[in-house]
Amino acid sequence: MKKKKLILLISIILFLSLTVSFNNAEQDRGTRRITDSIHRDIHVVKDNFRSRETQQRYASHEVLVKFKSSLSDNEVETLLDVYQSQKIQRIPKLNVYQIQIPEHTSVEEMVYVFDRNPDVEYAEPNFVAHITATPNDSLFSDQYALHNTGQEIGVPGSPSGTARADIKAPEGWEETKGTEETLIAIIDTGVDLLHPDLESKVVSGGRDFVNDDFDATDDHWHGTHIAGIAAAETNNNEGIAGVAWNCKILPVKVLDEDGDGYYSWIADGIIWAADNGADVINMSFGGEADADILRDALNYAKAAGVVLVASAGNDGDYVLYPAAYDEYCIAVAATDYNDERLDWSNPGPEVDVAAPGERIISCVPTWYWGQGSLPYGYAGGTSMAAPHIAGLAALIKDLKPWLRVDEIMDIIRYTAEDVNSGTSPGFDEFIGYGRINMDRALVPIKLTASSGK
Amino acid sequence: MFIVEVNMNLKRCILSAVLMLFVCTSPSYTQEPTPDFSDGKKWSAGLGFEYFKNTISWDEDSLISKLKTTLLTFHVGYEILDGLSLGGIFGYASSDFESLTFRELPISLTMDKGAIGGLLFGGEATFTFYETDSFDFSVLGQYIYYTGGEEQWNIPGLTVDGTATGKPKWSRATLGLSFRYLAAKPFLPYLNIAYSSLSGKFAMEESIQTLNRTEEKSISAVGNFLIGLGGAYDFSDAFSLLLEANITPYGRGDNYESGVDFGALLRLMYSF
Repeated sequence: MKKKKLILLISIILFLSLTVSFNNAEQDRGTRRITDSIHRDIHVVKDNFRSRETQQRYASHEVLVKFKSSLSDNEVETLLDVYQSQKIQRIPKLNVYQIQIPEHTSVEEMVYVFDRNPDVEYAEPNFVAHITATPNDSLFSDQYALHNTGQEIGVPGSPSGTARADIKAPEGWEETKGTEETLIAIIDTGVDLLHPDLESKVVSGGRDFVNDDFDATDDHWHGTHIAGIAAAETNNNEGIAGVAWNCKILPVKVLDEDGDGYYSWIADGIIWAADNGADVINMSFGGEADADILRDALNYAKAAGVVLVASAGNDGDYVLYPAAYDEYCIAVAATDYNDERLDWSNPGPEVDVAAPGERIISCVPTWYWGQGSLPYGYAGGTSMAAPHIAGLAALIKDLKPWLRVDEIMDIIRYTAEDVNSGTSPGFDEFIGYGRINMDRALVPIKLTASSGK
Repeated sequence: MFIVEVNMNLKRCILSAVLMLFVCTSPSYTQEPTPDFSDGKKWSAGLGFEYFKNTISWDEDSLISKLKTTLLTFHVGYEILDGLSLGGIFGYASSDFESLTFRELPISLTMDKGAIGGLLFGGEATFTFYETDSFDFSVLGQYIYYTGGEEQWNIPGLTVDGTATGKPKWSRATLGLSFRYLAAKPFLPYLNIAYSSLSGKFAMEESIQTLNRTEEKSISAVGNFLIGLGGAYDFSDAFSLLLEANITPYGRGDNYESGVDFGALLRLMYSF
């Protein structure tokens, strides 16, 4: 009888031993693969901002355990011996042990085992924190619109902003930074094609409908400023960061050196951009006249799958065209560094959303300040607010190319933050649905048990 | 070299035994058809409780999350031939699809926590094909199907009202061998080794004013090789209590490490 029991016990142990060995071999292979991939990653510097999906969540062979304070050091050591685990270090003030687990066990398995021990207060994986996607552009700290820390807005002595009165760009970049496949057309005064923060982002010389040629070089400053906000080269150790980190720019010049342009040039520009691969068109200008040519051009572009973004205007009166074409455009109002609506931002029922438009730093043409000065400057207006939305639209379109234009417009509207809910709750004619929020628009929203009906 | 190898294996054995002991004394876990223990009586009926935590993959195996499920089951069985029993399973299951993420919806959504209850039904069969005074071998098979109720959430943080409606379903098929030790009656320890396949779908519908889309996500368990260790205790001619703990190891995928899933079940059976 005893012999039979012994045979049974040995059989079970042998079987378990074999399965554990199998698991161990799998883990060894896994470890080698991880090591290989780390070596490869060292040489790919720009890959240091990985998407959230692929980031390592916790150390693969470590757990953190807090033993009850009644346990002596010797007792802890004995317990670790039983679990075939080794102390790496102890954090004295927390009485938490960082423990190396046996090679043939998984982190989850050991967390489970430690957690069941009555002498343990808690056990958990040694989770990995990652740098957030904060670009290294030298002027990023001045871009309160993307990430407001309450910094001074402008030169020293300027007013300070309110922390988090921003569009939550770094949070959104955790989900996506876009790709080169997505194109934002800047229909404006042109773009400085040689600007160090834009040179690599423009896909071609573009189109100039003012001078009727294929060189959309900026002879004002406005278009260059707009292009920089939407999609300046990001994480390149200089200048500013663009909202659409990796997306490209298609320059289209429809406004002359004074910032004026005929509707015919504008209509031509919209149609040319739509025909030349634009996914999003930014129009930081406005006219007082309602005109069929403009409406038809917008209709053409929207039918081609282009998201159209336009600024509401800066005279505090009513929404200008093309922003006033509610069916075709996202009309953009301006807020400031405290998330307050600016008086001069045009109100009206056509306003969809708002973005920061006060003291916005961006690119200016390299010739603008003259030699010896950095080609960047501050500017304000709904013109500066609009490219924030254009950048977000590009990121959404890049992330979810199957969505229709109307759906992308609605995502931007419905995920905004109603920052003036104290005075005008819900949709209003001043900032529409609210100031845009890239975190909500791009990062999956958590459905919790408490949000259940 | 040989001594080192033996020593390593011994350590693994001890560790495995310790782990199994911890698992067996813990409150709950897993998934496995139980051995026939009707002891000559034709009918059996009983109540069961089961818990399992399976690692599931989705989005073409590129991502994983945990499916935590609790089952309350009613079993009825009949021995149609000597050694061959067939049975039906009915009950309630509650499945928590933590971290399952829907990125094809206009506004992406992710399940944080929140179990969805639903109905469960299926069948099981046991065939004992070899038996001595001390042990027997059986083939076990079980199939269960879970269809969850529609669960609705308010989508938080939007400027307009929006709802998400989720409806999950999954099925699990298990086929394996059971080795049962009979010489320690009334306690009958057993070891099960089985192939287990769990797969299903989760349909999430998003409705926010004009935004209306549905995304259906296919899920499947990454581990298929199940090892169960348990025992039945016949505390009278008619009543038996069965307790089992099991593990399902799984290998490394492109975006996840290897690991082990756990499960446990408890059944009270009445034979007549």
